Amino acid sequence: MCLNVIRKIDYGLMKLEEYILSYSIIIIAVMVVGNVLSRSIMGSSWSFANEVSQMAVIIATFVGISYAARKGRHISMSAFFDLAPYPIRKGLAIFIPAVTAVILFILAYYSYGYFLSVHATGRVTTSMQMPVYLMAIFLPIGFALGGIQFLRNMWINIKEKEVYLAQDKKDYS
Amino acid sequence: MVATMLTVMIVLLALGFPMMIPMLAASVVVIIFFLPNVDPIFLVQQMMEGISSYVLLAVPLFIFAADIMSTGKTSKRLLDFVGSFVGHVRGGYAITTAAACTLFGSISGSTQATVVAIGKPMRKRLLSVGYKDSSAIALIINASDVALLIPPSIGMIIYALAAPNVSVGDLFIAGIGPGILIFMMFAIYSYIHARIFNIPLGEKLSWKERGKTTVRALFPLGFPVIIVGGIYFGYFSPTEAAGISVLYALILEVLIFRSIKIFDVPKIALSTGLVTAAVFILVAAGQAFSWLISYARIPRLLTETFIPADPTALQVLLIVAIFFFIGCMFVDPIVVILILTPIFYPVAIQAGVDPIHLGVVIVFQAALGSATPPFGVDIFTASAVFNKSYLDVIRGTPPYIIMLLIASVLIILFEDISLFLLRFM
Repeated sequence: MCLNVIRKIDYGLMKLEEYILSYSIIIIAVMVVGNVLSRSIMGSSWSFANEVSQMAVIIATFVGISYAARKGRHISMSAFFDLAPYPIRKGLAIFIPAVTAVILFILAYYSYGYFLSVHATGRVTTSMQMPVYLMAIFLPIGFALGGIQFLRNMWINIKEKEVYLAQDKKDYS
Repeated sequence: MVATMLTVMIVLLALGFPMMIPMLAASVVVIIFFLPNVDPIFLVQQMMEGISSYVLLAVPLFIFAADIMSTGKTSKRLLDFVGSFVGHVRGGYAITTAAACTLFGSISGSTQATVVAIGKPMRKRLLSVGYKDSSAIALIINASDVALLIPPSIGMIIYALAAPNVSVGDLFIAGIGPGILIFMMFAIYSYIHARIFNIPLGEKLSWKERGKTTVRALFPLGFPVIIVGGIYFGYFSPTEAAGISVLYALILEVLIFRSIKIFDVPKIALSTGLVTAAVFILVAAGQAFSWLISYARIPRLLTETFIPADPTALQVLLIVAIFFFIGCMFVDPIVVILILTPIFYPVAIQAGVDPIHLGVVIVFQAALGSATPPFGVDIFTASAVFNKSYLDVIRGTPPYIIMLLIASVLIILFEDISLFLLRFM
């Protein structure tokens, strides 16, 4: 029962991450193109275009930590890993996500501090007057979700016999 | 401190950690143990600022345009166009591959997208006329690498971000000469290789058929014209050019070729978003790391150790080339360009190196390093895309590495290869 709920939350979270990544890109494209068209046709630029795009990039980047971790798509230099024999590869497949998760949790903590400091100053963006902390909040969220995802990548390698590069991706060799 | 930092980085990198972690872990360790009075929120602030750049927005947009085109029919039309002209020459299929990679590089700016869009269909054709798989793959990854150099080049955008006062438009133009030089070298090699191994000739098409493939490729060929022309004549910035190429790709694939439905676009955007996130977290981590090492005055230590007092332009360029080449064998080119450029840029400019030429040399070395065994990132991309083992992928690369090394010497020695087009304009 409890496990089922967690599974549903996890699925919902994954779908949410997918929407955020996909629509961030679409929003950036709409902003940049809309700004060019508006400038050349109407003669006036969209003052908000740049801020909206920046926000989309920041949200996509930090939410993407977790999604890329699920899919095993973080860029890495895997020469040694690929060539290592099974026991070493298995060991690394547990060790790497464990340490990665620790680093990401530390950064989540640091960036929570950053969020608090931005919140305290009450800084707003220049053209839309939007509070900057609304963007900053995505850093601790992104790092923490990423950390959780890497813990799961570790756990699946402890539980299963095969080597998993990520929750959703078995090693192809 | 420097030793601890380097050890942490190298060990984590070599073990195969996600590439953001060696940089972030080294930064965290240094802050905790060596710089206790640095508030870690500055590190976080640097990460956020690192990706809040208007110029950088061009990167997801160019990738998006490339993803739309490789899902649709653009790449096939380009292949047919090039193939209809050179398919019947000795080594015609290989030359077609090299030319199509260069052309697709000129509309996408991404090495990975080029490997997928051109490499996948061309590998089948190359195998069918008798090429060995190892030489087909070697050709594809090395020719796709030219995409890093040909405008729109993501490498150049990152360089412009790290180097003060350099115009992305000028950099784009400067990449054309070296790109064409490398294509010519690959084409000549393909011809000789096909003679030696007696690869059969393709069918020669009539001018009427060539006319047909040309007409079909006219719209895709409009991309480079719009991008380079638009930026150079000041109609729009590189970021806007990237936006326009997304719009153009959508108009072509959705309205004209009808190969993509509008409802498919969010799915394509998701794959772009995933790649963007994986790249941008590296940019963010690279920025934080770069800030921390300059805070700790490591760049000065590095330049004072490796660069002689009062160096000539050539000396600096050679040292820069070696550093970027080795760096990119191990680490993603974006990270290397972001971290090493601010270190070497001031020294190079002082020694009289042209900043545009420096950019071309750096991006070229980055491309070369990332295709070079044992650790080039491109090799791992290809091994994932083609589902081939590491050894199968690198078996055919030595001749290409030799050609690229020769090209790199030429580019370093003769700055006109990169700058001549700018002099005309």
